[in-house]
Amino acid sequence: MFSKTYAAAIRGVDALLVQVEADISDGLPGLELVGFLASELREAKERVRVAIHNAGIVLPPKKITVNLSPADVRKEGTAFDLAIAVAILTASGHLSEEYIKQTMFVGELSLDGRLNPVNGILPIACCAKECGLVQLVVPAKNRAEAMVTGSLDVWGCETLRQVMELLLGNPPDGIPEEEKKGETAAGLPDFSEICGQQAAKRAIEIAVSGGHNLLFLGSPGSGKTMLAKRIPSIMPELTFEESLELSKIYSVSGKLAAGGTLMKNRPFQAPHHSITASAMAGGGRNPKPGQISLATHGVLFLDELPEFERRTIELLRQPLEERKITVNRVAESCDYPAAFMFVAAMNPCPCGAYPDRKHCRCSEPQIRKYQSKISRAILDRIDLFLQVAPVAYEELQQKGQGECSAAIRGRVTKTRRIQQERYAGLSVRTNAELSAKQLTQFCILPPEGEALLKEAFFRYGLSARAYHRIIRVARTIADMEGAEQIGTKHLCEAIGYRRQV
Amino acid sequence: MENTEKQYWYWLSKVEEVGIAMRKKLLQAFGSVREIFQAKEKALIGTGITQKAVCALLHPKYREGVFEEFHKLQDRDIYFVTKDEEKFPKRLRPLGDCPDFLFYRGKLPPEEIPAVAVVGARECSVYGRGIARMLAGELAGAGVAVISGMARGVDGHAQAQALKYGKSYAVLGCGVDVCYPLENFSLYEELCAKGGILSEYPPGVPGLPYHFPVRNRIISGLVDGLVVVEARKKSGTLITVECALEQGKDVFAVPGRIGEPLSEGCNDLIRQGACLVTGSADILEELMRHYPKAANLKKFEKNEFLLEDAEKIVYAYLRLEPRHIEEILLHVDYPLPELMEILFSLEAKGAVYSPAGNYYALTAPTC
Repeated sequence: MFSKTYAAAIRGVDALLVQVEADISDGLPGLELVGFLASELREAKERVRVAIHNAGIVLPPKKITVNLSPADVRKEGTAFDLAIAVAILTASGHLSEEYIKQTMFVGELSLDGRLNPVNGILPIACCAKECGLVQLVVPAKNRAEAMVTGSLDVWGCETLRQVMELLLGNPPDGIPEEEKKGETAAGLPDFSEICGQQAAKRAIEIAVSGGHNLLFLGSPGSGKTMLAKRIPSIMPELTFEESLELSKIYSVSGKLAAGGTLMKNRPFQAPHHSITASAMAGGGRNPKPGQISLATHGVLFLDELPEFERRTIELLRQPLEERKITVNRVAESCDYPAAFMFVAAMNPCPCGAYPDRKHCRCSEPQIRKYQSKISRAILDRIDLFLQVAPVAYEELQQKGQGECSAAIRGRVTKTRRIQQERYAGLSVRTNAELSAKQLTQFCILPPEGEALLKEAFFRYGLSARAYHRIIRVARTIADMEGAEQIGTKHLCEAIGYRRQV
Repeated sequence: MENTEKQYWYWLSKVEEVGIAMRKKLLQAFGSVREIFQAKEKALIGTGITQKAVCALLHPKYREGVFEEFHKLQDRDIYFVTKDEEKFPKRLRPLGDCPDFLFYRGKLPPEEIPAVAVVGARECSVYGRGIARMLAGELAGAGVAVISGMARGVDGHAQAQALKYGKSYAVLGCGVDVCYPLENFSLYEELCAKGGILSEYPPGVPGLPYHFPVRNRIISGLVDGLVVVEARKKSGTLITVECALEQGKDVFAVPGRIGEPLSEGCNDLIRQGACLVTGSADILEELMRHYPKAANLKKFEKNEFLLEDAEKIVYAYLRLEPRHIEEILLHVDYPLPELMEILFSLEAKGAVYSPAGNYYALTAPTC
């Protein structure tokens, strides 16, 4: 007898519908599993056989063949166990085909028939919804995550036996409704804890308002890292789409908090400078999202930028422009989203004290060599440069608190809203994402502004990309003021943040 | 065609193993460079020079094609002048260790106008940079030739500014066709076009560490006064000062703050009797006393910036040492965006510049 049910394979951050077909026919007794399977999936044969046996069901001594279709797509992971078991049980007549027609089954089986949670439930649930299925059966611990998509009947089961009961019309009772444990926004470090550094705070506010990239330069101990850590606290709340996209990435990498549902906080990824290129970009034999994808809709902070391997920094070029990264592996290539805000910090010279010649004895070639570790291509993609001054003792003593993050966040949200209204209907969300063509449409400069930019272009030897970045930043500054037109003072300030050492 | 004495000099200039002292010995023994060229090994050994030098003098690598090379020099805009010629700088002649010949590009420093060397630390501070630029610019504007070593730091800044208002000449520690340090390439080209580049090393010789102290005696020899802008306690600049003192030249030093390592050398010089400098007038006055022709030097016109009220307030707070925008913000009553606009226009007017990141400094002292 033949039966068919559904599961899903993860590809990139999305899931692909997989049909699980089982057939029982005469022949030498045994279980055959086919369909381009990874080794952990081939082992499912044993897990499923024993789990069914331990659930108290005796399979007929016949030849059982299971196919995972499409058979030309490589399938990995252990999430197919449950679907395979259900397909076999249906084929052997223990379950009716009626029950499983419009249902997707996901979960890993233990030998004792227990269901173990798996990664990537969120994209799988989205896939089930898109493919028009009505029911989704998942391990109990994955239920909250699967519920997020809505409009699906999601059942969480503890054991294979429970799944069978459910399909026979006895939904499991006594499963406690998981309380929604979503992360809270509390506990983030606040800007009010930072003394002085007005210029730095202003630059950060501009950067966050327009989604611009930011580079801090400054001597050790001047607070670069402290400032960067507080950036998420002033970023506007995640929209539902953003949160869903982000949660998918975290779900695929198994980083979604257990029992948690959607990501509520914007991520702050600060990988150590010993990170390898593939850990940064994503990849591996079974492609996994890298640090830059985990920072999507949040901040990717690279402290001590010149200490990173050159290759690791250079691979940021594509994601910084296109907001995604394409990872190519032998079996497949997949796109991971990488729409992060890039924040980096570095010392201006090997000792860090430049331009304070009292303490810095680095020679000019040394300084140049140190700074040239960051290629022009990367520097060009940064919108705001900020030299952070060491904090004066008097400022440290000041007990008066600075502005708190919530107040700044309010302004940022307002500025973001202006941008969203202006770019309604376009794929652009922030000023930083404007293309060169869109710049001419949305960023009309007054004649005196053009003259000013021309002067700056020659005085600082700007590249075309840097020129466009200045205009984008000026647009953001104008938006922060609520100004319709970009004025010369907005341009002046934007240029002021483009000073490299 | 018979080779001239000058061509033989060119050959001798290329023999790096033979220095000034040995050349003197050889000339005493043989009378002319041509005789040295034609001398046999025995005769050369008889003069008491080292074996290595004898080998070098006879070595074919210096002899082959040397005269053709000499003729090609001019095509490369390189000129060669020996001590025997009229146009050889007169100021150098009295030196005990006067170079026997010079290579140059552009022009030699004119004899009739006074010359001053502006030298100092390579890793100078922003203050040093400002002072070097101010002094060199004003001196050049007054008609003084500014001579220095085209090094990074004070030397280069001084010469770059001097070329804007007048003449400047560089003495290198490498061949005149070699630009060292490379980052001063635009300055090098400008010097070739508007001033001159001098060296006692033949073309193609790289800047070796021991060349520079030797080259310093030519800098001090070519000038009437030497200004030290910034120098640490043990600085290469002090070698130039020693040369200048030996040659009886005036030494000027720019004072620095107590405890400032980059000014310790200068302050030491002042303690030892160097003339303290607070402006180009100090130098010009001294020059006029010793140098009668200096009387027709122009007084340098200070260029005043036309500033608006807001700009004046910010300008007044700025100094030669760089100040961070954060610091300016605390002392000036303008919000950050406005302050940035003011600084931008100050920069456009040339009154202020940004040495690094968000630091701002004056381009010239306000006094």
